[in-house]
Amino acid sequence: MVVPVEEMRGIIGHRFPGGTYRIEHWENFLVHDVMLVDQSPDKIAHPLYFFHLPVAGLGVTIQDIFALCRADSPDAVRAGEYVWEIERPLREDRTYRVSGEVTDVVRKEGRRGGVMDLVTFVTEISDVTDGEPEGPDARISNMWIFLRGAT
Amino acid sequence: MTKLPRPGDALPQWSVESVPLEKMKILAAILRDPNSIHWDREAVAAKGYGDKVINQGPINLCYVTNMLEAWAGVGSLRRLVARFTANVVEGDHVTAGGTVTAVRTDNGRTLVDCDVWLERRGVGRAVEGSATVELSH
Repeated sequence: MVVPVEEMRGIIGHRFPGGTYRIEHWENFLVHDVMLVDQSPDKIAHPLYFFHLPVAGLGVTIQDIFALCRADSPDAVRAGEYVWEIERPLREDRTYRVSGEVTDVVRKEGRRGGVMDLVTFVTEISDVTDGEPEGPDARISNMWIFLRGAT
Repeated sequence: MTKLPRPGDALPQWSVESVPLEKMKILAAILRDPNSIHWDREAVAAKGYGDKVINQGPINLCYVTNMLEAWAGVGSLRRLVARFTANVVEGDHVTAGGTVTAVRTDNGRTLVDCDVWLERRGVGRAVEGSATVELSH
């Protein structure tokens, strides 16, 4: 049975616990290795962190988000549209505060995918290593697609 | 970069000859991503998705950012809007590229807007979108 759309729209405004995340050298090294590029000498984090931090720093796991969005299974989730607005690059050995919430849920029905919910999460990433910042380093909007199968 | 780009200029392309499975496994561990389509061939086949492991969307997207940073410099990315239009699987040949759409200044910064994409050889676009990079970084 497909989760009622009213129930899904009820998660709009859901705020995640939030938290902080320190970008460690070892992890940034491995992320660069995954992305098949060498690290820069100035400790800039790979842009893949604009995907990683909005989950890892929110105080939840991917599985928690799947549960919140009533994912049928992990493989019934697809990446949708990502919007990354970046004031400055992220760096190793810095601690970032991550806060975020669910901002939108849209139900659609596709010819191939059946019923699906498009869930948008907006996250702000701020460097708090040296205290309270003037503004966020990045604002990230990631939309994930939760396939609900046929009607 | 010796001179400013102009609208219509093609960005230097960035390619992966064969998308590696081992990197998907490393990223799945880093992200704590439980989706087995990114690390288990048998699971992929059992789900009817073929016989090759499926690359993570963020890796596909960041092949595009690799292309942008190779051209404009590490840390130059200021905005990225992207959507995923097809899967990429292990062994695929993929190429990231783009075209300059505008060059502008904002508070003393030189910003370049581009249309960007990731092409899966023999299949078509896997990622499409737009990006802004700062040249004066």
